[in-house]
Amino acid sequence: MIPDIERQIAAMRRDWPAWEVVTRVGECATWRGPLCPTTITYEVEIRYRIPLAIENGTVYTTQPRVTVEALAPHFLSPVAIELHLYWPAREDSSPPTLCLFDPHAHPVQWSVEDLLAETTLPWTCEWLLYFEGWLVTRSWEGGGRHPTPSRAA
Amino acid sequence: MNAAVRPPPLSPTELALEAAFLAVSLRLQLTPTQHRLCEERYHSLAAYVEREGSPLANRVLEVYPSGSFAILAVILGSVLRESHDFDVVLEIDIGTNADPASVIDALYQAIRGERGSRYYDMTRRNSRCVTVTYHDGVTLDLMPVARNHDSPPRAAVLFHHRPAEPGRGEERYRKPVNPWGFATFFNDQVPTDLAFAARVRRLREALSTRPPPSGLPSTDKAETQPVPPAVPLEEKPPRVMALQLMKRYRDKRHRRDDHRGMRKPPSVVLASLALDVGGPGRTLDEELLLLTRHLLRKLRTAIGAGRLHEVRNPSHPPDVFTDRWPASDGAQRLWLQDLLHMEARLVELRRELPFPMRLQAIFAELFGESVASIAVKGQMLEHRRARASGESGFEASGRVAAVTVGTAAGATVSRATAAPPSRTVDSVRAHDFYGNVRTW
Repeated sequence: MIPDIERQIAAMRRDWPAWEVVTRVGECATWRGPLCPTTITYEVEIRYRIPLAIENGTVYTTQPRVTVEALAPHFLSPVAIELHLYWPAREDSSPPTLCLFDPHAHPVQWSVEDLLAETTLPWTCEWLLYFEGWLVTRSWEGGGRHPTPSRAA
Repeated sequence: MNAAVRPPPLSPTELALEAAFLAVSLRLQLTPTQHRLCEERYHSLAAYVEREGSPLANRVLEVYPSGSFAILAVILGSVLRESHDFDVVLEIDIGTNADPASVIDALYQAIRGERGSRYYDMTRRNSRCVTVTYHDGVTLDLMPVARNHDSPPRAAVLFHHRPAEPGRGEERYRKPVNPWGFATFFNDQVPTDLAFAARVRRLREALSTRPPPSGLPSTDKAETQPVPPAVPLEEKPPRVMALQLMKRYRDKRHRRDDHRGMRKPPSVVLASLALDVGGPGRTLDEELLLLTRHLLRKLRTAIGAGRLHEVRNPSHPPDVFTDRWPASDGAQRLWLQDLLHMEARLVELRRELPFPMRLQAIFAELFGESVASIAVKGQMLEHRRARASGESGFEASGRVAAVTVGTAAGATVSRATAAPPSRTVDSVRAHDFYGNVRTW
C-alpha cells in the first residue's frame, strides 16, 4: 500500500524530529533538516510527490529528490564524476540530486510503498559519510555502480 | 558468585577509528618482497664478512638479526621510498677486552673491502656498528660483539669507538648487551589477540593489501640464524603494532626543525617499556594511548626525581638501553612534549569521530602525509562493512551508531554498545548508490 503524504510526514517527524516540512501542496512536500555524519552538519532538502494512481511512472521518475546545496561547488570538480549524483541537463540550473539507490536493481531497492524516513534519510546519511571520505581520498568507498550509457535512466 | 564482566562489544565508531589506525599500520609493514630482499642481503653480507681474505675470515661465530626486525616491529622509515633499517649482530671470536677501535675497524675493512668491491662505496663506519646503505635506501647495521661466556645465554659485549673530533674527545669503551635475550623475552611476553587479528585480516582484505608472506624460503647457513619469518600481519600483537606507530611518530617528530640534531629515543627503549604497559587495550588506538601514557609516566617520574630516564634490558640488567639517550634533561623533556602532543591528539580522536579531513590532518601530523589518506580509506571501508553486516545505522542527528534491537520489556539496547540509546537505530536497508553521468 502506498503511504500518503501525511503518513510520510508523520514518519519523518517520528524518526527525524529535527526535520521540518517547509512546503506542503497536496500530495507534495518538501522537508529540510540537518544531518551530521561526523562533526559537520549539512542542511539537506528532500522533495517528494506521491504519484497519482493513473501515473505510470518508474521509480526513477517518482523517487524523492535530495539536494545538499552547500555541496554544489564540490560537484563541479572534474574528479566529482565518481560521485553518485543525478545531473540536470546543462540548461537546467537546479543542483544535482543525490542518487541513493539503483532504480534498475532486482529485487527493487526503493518503491513508492516505502517510507522516506526508513530509506531516503539513512541512505542520505550514508551518502554524506562517504562523501566526506571522498573529499580526502578522492575515491568513493561506499560502493554502488554507475549506469552504462545505454541505461542512463 | 562473581560473574566475569565481559566488556561491551566495540561500537561502529570505535571500530571505524581503529580501522584508520590499522590502515596506517598495515601501510608501514614491509611487503613480502622487501622482507625476502632483506633476507637475501642479510645472508649475502654475513657470508661476505667471512669470505676468504677478509680480516674476519673464520672469526665470526654467529650472525643474528636484532633490533626491530627481531621483534617484528620494523617499519618502513620512508613509505614513499619504501626504505627501512635492519640491525644485525655479529658475534666475533675475540675477547671481551678487545680494543673497540680495532674491532670496529676490522669489521669496516671486512665489509668495505678493496676499491671496486661490492660494498666499497656503500659502507660507513659508525661508533658501534658498520652501516651498509643500499641503492634503494635500505640500511643494514652490523654490530660486532664478543660473547661473554660468564653471563646468560648470548650475553655479550659491544664495542664503542668514536675518534676525536674538533670540540669532542675520543670515545672508547665496551658495554654489556644481550639483544638476543631481549628479543626472545619480548616475543615471549607480548600476547596476541584473536579478535584483533580478525579485524586486521578483515581490513587487510578490504584494502587489498598483498597477501601476507608465509614460509619464506630460508638460506641460512650453519652459523647464520634465520631472519624471523614475516608473520601474517594479523598475527602481529596489537602491542607490536602500537609500538610501530609510536616509532613512526617519533621519527616524524624528529624531522622537525626543533628536533634537528637531537638523538631519538631508541626503539629498544620504547619496546622494553611497551612490555610494562598493562592493558591490553580494546583497540589499536587504545593500545597506543596506553603506551603513550605509560611512557609519559616513566618520563615524569625521572624528571620529578631530577634524574635521567633509565631503562635496562629485562633479560640482562647490566645492559642499559638508555646509555646514549636521554643525554640531558632537555632531551627527555623534548620527548615528554612529543608524548603529550600524541596523547592530546589521541584523546581528541577518541572523543568524537572527526570529520575525515580533520582525521587526515591529525594523521598527517602524527604519522606523515604519505599515510594520512589511507587512514580515511580504512575508516570508510569499516563503515561500509558495518553497514552491510547490519551492525550500524544512523541516529536522528545523522551520526553513525550501533543498531539497536528490541527487548522483552520493550526497551531497546544497542547491539554493539552497552548504553541504551535514546532512539532506536535500525540497520540500513540494502541499496546501491547509482547516478547518471554528467554530460556537460
